[in-house]
Amino acid sequence: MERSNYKSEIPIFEFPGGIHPKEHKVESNQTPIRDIPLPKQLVINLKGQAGNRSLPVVNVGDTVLKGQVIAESDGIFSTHQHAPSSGTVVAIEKRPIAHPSGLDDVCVVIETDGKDQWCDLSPKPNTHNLQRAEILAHICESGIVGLGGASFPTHIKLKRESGIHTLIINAAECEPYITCDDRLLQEHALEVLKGAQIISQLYQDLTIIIGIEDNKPDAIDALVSARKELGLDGAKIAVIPTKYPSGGEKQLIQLITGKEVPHGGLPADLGLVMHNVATCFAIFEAFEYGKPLVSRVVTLTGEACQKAGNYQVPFGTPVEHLMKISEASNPGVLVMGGPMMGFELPNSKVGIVKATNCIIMAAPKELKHDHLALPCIRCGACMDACPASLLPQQLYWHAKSDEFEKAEEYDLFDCIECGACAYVCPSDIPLVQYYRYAKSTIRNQKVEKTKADKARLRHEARQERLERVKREKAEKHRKAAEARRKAAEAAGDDDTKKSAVAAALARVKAKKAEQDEDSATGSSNETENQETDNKGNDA
Amino acid sequence: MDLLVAVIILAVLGLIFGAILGFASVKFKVEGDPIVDQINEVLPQTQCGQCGYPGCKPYAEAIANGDAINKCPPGGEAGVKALADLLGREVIPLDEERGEEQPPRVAYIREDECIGCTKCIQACPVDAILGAPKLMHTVIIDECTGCDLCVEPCPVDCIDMLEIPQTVATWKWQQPEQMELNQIPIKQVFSKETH
Repeated sequence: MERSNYKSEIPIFEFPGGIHPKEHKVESNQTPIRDIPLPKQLVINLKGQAGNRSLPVVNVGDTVLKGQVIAESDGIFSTHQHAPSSGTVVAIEKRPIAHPSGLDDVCVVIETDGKDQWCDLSPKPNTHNLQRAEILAHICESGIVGLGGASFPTHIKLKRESGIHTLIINAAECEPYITCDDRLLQEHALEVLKGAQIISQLYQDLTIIIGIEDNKPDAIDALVSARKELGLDGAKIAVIPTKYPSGGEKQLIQLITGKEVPHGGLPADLGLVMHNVATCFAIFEAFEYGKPLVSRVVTLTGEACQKAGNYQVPFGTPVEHLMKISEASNPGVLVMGGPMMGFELPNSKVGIVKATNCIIMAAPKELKHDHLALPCIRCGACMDACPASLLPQQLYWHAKSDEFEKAEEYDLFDCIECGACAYVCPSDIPLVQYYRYAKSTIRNQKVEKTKADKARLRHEARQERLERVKREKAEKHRKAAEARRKAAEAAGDDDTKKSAVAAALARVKAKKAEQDEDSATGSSNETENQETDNKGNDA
Repeated sequence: MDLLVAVIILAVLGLIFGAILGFASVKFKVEGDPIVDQINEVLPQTQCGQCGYPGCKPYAEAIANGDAINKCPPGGEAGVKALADLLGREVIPLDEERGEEQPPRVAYIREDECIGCTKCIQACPVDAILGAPKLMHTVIIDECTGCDLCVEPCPVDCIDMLEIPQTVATWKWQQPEQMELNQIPIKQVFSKETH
């Protein structure tokens, strides 16, 4: 493929590893970005971003205009979502979403009316008059997320201000097949740079560096002339050699600054903030025209695709509609994202989300292969290819035998899942799948652990409470018993006690006396007689 | 003379180390039994009593005193493995008499049938049921450990144990050897030569 002769304006460093897969970019980057005919239905997933689900603010039956807010940010970790075209909300329900799981999630379904009528927009072209917080709020309300693939809410990424000195615009687009950023730059380099200027207003003395691979000569030329037109001489263009995965955030930082993002750290720790070209373009549109993010450039490509190219696609457009437009016939597999880091779509009815940069409609044998994984021969090729300097085969052994703790010790979470290791593996072992499996299992285990900890605390609190109640009850009984005894004691003072005894004694005496009286007459005579008898005997 | 010096040196050393050890035993005294706490950390805290002990902590104490490590069905095979790792014991299969490993569940009260007897509230080991006498009860799903203990005391059988449906947030990638979907995208077959 053609390489640019443009010399990088700043010195370029290197990152370890990396691979050179066949690029497959010419198939889609030769034609301008095209609009698509509107689909009948748009299926907008409310969790179409990293973070939390947005909260729907429309009801079934509502008519909506293009750009109208249909779901609001939860205020913590999400952005607003907008109607990608005018029409009627026909359902808010669970539908299959663009996710490797193939599971359903809440979607707003809009039946389009074909008018594509915008709502009232509120442009803010004079960004110089705006406060930092106002700019961030407008970015959030315009639904802007990182369009490079991770779809992290942009206003959150821009929040940290202190210590940031460099903005890197990521135009590397290193993954095979994908050309949406390339085409966007060729056609809208000026707007992208203006978007970057808006970002630079959020910081003091921000240097702008644009990182771009040398396989995009036309985009580089467009950037150079746009920069001249804007008089933005401070912005430097870093032309980097084509090598996958140079567009990874950490790799591009290493290429441009020579520094590594620390383990567990963020680019902001090095004073850097990175945004994708499409994100800058979206920011420009949000301020200049007041347009919220309702569509994006998506590369439709793959051998099954007759009309490969880049299309401006409204979010929620079902993939099957895109298949029709690009005249794809019997694709063997549908992949969202690139061939290295993307995933197979379980269902062609799912709607496009903000993260969708590419749909590969691959011919049956284009991406899949039918070899089985062979045993690892410990060749170490994966280690040489790893851009994060990890030990992929150690991670593989540990992930395979569910020894997650050991995998973590080998810095599993520094793995960017680029797939370079699996690409070079002579035994065709799906290494990255093992890392994804291990990572997601560890994450789930952590969630379970927090839940278990909470249950333990609640159980202990309950035990303690029961114990306390028991103690209190026993104490109460003891006190009550004591009180009774005391009351009895108090009532039975010595006098009363004695008198009671005396009374009882008196009663007994009286009874006895009565009995004595009854028998007194007879018995006394007897005694007298006896006495006389005795006397007589004596005599 | 040499002999005396040696004896004195040893005696002095003995005294010094004795003092240090004595000090350490007071200063760094460990309250409770740390191994019981470690075992308790590994147990799933369901508090279901399927192990035959009235909660996870008592079972942890029993394990520390030599009881078998395979009596916890909610912990499952993974739990037995974790305990075996911790205690340096042999991994043994789950004791089937104690029950089977089940997917995580939560209790659900059919509220219109509840008579408000509070029996389930008294049975719940983690206070996850909310209610008052003669008033409807309900389960706080986020706090429920799925222990089953509330089901049996209910006089009107209005408590169901429901499996927690999988969502995008709780979904995880499968072990590649058991995967059906998504076997590929990573490895490209489009020839490996560089353009």
